Amino acid sequence: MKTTQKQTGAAQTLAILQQLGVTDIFGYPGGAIMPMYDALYFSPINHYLCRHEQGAAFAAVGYGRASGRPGVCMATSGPGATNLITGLADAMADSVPVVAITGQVPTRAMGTDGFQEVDIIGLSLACTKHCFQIKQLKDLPQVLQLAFEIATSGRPGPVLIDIPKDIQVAEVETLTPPLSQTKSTLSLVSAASPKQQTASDGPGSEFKQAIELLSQAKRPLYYIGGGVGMADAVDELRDMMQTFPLPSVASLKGLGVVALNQHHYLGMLGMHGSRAGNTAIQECDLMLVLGARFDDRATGKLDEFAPHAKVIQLDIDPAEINKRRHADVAIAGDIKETLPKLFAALLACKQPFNQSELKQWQDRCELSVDKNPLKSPLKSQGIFAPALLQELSDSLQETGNDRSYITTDVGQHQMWAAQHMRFSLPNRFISSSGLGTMGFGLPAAIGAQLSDPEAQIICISGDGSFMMNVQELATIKRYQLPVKILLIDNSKLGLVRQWQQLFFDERYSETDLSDNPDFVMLAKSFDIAAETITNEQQISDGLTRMLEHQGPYLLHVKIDAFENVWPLVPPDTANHKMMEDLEH
Amino acid sequence: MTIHTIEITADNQPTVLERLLQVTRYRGFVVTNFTVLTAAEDNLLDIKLTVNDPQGLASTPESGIQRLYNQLNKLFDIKQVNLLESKSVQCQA
Repeated sequence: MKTTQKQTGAAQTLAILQQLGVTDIFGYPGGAIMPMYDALYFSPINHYLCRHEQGAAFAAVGYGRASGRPGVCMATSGPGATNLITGLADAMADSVPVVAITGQVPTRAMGTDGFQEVDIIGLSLACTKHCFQIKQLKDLPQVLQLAFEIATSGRPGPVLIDIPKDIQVAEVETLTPPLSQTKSTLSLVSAASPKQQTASDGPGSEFKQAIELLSQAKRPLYYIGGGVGMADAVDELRDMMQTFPLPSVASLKGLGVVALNQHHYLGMLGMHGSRAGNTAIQECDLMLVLGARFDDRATGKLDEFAPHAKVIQLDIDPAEINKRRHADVAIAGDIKETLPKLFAALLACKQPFNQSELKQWQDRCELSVDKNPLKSPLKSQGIFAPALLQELSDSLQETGNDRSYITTDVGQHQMWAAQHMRFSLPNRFISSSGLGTMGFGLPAAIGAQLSDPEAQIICISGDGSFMMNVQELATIKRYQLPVKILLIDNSKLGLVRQWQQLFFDERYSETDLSDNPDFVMLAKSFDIAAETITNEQQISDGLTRMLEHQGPYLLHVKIDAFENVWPLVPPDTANHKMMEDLEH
Repeated sequence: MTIHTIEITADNQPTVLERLLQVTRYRGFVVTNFTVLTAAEDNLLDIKLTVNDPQGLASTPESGIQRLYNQLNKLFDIKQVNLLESKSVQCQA
């Protein structure tokens, strides 16, 4: 496609994004990004106007997590750009491929404290995998291509590109060249040889060592993290688990990796993990750690975490190996490649595990599951949130909707969802895990819905979190997205209140939200159908009405203000010293 | 207290020094010496960084400096990282 027609930097940016496969952008216009919005007027790329730049950034995160393709968001300079920062930090903490494009004041005004000027490069250094500022129009094609490569390669993450307004309006003579022609025309990257990759070529010595440790183990355990899903290695792991059904636990981001019918799966580990999972961790003598990073909420008191276990750790990021826990054997590289090699090596052993010892260990873990069911009886006629979420989960599976995407906010409802729901795939549970960002669920649901328009999306939220990006109801209305919102309302900042009750002598400082708005009226003001339920008998019909409704729906569920998340590992305590609710 | 010297080759990009220092600070090190030279090769910087580890980072299983090395090595603009030496020094009262 050759023509001598002139093209602006903004138009070229959009044309390149199109070449890179971008079909959707979440954003909000403003002064320094106006040329991009003007070019968007003629572009086939779909732009979704969110009602806050933070909403746009979370929508991009939700899109990236649901689809595995980079989520793209766009904002103006200054406050528009700073409002993206929380979303970028969230993407950084959860390793989500996101590309953010910010407008910047014109080059001549940069560094003069101009109107809506902020040093977004300086601000984004700590919360992006990489960031670029375009200094000249000719750098644009290569920077955009690099940004997508960086965001998606290795351990994924967010990349920011800051484009001054004068570069957006500057014109180039020729239409966008195909990207393959842009390589080597620019000097953004030195000719120095790329860093030596630590990926293993196996069957190297580390595989032999891993097999040796595995075959010596009497109580081996899979510790599964979010990396397995992001590496698209779910099938590979499920195959291995079918052949070698060792007991297994998952981190918050690892939920959904293990097949629903897998034997000896013990659920989530950590602060609000299952007693069976945490007990198994403390008793195991070998952990096969797959794409997990020993997060402090997973390990509890690190010195006492898995005290008898040797560790075999597989991770794409060498910096995660030995970071918080020594790895006896480290296999750095893409799990999609390294795990099948390990599986093959294990299959080649005649008898990798002593069957009677393994059976004894599996039985012991199962006994622990049976003794410690998560389901608790109802205290009263009121709605018990864990029972509500179990019913939702069961209902989705019974109706064949178990591939629905669930997004959550952060707090008690998030932990109840993690404890009481089962997910068919890891990208079906989209929850702000590393950063723990309230306000994430609703815009992430928007992003997930737009990445998979036919899918069912359910946002499980709490009354505190929901109010943090409640303006995104307008986005749901504008695009008529059939997002279902299950709002679990205890009129409190529940998890903080729980900690105040348990660890701060019941001093309930600033956690009462009894002056919340009328959520049903609020939803209806955005033309979103809504109802409130308050007792146990209404759960089943309420969930059915929500799930069967054609458009967006808000099911407002009032629960007891003093319901707690159990079990709980108190801060800086070993995982096996879990607190349980004695009333239940 | 241990003093570590690290030699780094980096792309000569405007943000590379800031990012290097940000990562060094965030991972718990204090810069005690820092030299930057434009390398003979086009568009590269030769950086020599001396840092100390005042907190000792005792909670990490491996030495803190290995953690810093790994994090620096991940940065896109940084092409090569070499740990030159680590010296224990007595703190003066």
